[in-house]
Amino acid sequence: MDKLFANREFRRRLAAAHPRLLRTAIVWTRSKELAEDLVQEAATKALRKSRQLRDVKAMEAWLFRIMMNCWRDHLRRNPSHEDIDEHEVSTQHTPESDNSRLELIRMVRQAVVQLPDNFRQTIMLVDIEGFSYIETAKILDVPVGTVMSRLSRARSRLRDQLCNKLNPSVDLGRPLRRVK
Amino acid sequence: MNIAKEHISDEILNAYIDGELGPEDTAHVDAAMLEDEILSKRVNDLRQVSALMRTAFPENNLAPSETSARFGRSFNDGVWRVAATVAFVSIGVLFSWHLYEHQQTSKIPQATLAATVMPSGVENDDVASTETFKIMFHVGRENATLLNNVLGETDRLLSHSTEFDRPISVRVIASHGGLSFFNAASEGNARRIREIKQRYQGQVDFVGCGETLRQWTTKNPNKKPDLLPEMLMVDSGVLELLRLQQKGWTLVSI
Repeated sequence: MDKLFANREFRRRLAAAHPRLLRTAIVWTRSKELAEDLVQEAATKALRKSRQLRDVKAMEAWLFRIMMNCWRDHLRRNPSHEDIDEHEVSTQHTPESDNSRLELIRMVRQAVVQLPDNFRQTIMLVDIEGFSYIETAKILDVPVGTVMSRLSRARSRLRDQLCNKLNPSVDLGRPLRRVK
Repeated sequence: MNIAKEHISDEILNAYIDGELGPEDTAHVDAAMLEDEILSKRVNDLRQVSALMRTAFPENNLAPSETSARFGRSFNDGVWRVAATVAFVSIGVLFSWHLYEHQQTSKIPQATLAATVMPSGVENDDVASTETFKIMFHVGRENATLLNNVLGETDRLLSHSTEFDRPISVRVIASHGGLSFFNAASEGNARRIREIKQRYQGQVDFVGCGETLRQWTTKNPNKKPDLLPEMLMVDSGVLELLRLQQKGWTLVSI
C-alpha cells in the first residue's frame, strides 16, 4: 500500500513539475520543440529511476538534474547545436506587443536567450525556479562558487543589455537619492 | 563568509539579494549600504534584474499547446519514442502540455480581493504636478526592518512636507516577499499603514504587485488573499516602477 501511494505521489509530483521543467527547458534549448523532447526524455528517465530518489521533498532538484544531464548528453551528441537565431524563440512581436508589459517581457526574454549557455542555465534555476545556490550547484554539477560567478555575470549582462534596450528615459541604473 | 569591508563584490551582493548570506554577513551588507550610495544602487540594479526575470517567466504563463500531435517524438533516437510514449500514456493526461506562446495577462479575481484592483498602473499618477516631489519606495522582500524603514521614511517625509517649497507625493510599491507585509492579518503593519494613509490623504499610495499575487494564488489555491483594502493593485510591480520612473518619479533606496 505504501509503495502504491509512493508511486502515485511520485507521478503526481512529476506531473506538477512539468510546467516548470518545460519553462526552463525552453530557455536552455532556445527551442520549443527541442524543449518538449528534453522534458519528455527527462520525465522518462525519472520514471525509470524513481527508486533512486530517496527524499521525495528533493524531487524537483532531482528532476532538474536529470534534465540537465539529458541536455548535456544531447549537446555531446550534437556538438553543432544551432544557436538562437536558427530556432524559434517565443519572444517574437505579437499584435499585443504594443502593450508595454508584453514589450518588457519580450525584451527580457530576448536578453536571456542571448546569454551564454552556462549563464542562462544558472540564472533560470536561481531566479525562476527558486533553487538555492547549493541546489543549483548540485543540479549543474559545479561548485557553489561557480554558481555565484555565473549568476553574477549573467545578471550583470542582463542589467547592461536591458539598460540599453529599454527606453533611455527608463534607467535601471539611475542614481538613487537617499532621503535624509 | 568574511566580507572585506573595502569592497563588496557582485557575487556577494547577488548572494545578499538571494538570501544566501548568513545573518552576520547580511547585517554587514545592510550597514555598508547605509553608508555607501553606490553600493545601494548596485544592489537595487541587481534586484531589478532579478525581478524582471520573474516577471518575464511567470509559471502560470504557459499557453495551451497545439503540439500534442508530437507526443512521443524522439529526442535522441527511436527507443526513446517508445519509452516516452509508454511512460506518458501510463501517466495519462496528468501532464497538461503547455508552451510559451503569446504572453497572456490574466485578470486578478477581484472577488477574492479586498484591495482595489487597477488594470494597468495606478490612476492619477499624473495628478502630482511637475512641481511635486514624487518619491517611490520598493518593498521587494520579506524584511521587517526594510518595511519599518520605508514606513518611517514615508511618515517623516510627509510630516516635513511643509518645510519644502513643493508638495510631496509618495508611492510604496510592494512585490514578491514584500507583499506579505500588506496582509490585513498583520495587525501592527495594517494599523500603521492605515494611520499613514489617513494622516496624509491624497499624498501617499500603497501599491501591490498583481503578478506576485497571481503566483501566490496559484500556489495556494485553497486560500484567499487578505490584502489591506487600502492597497491598490497593478499588473506588475516592476513594470509600475519602470513606468513611474518614466514619469519622473524617483526611486529611493533604503
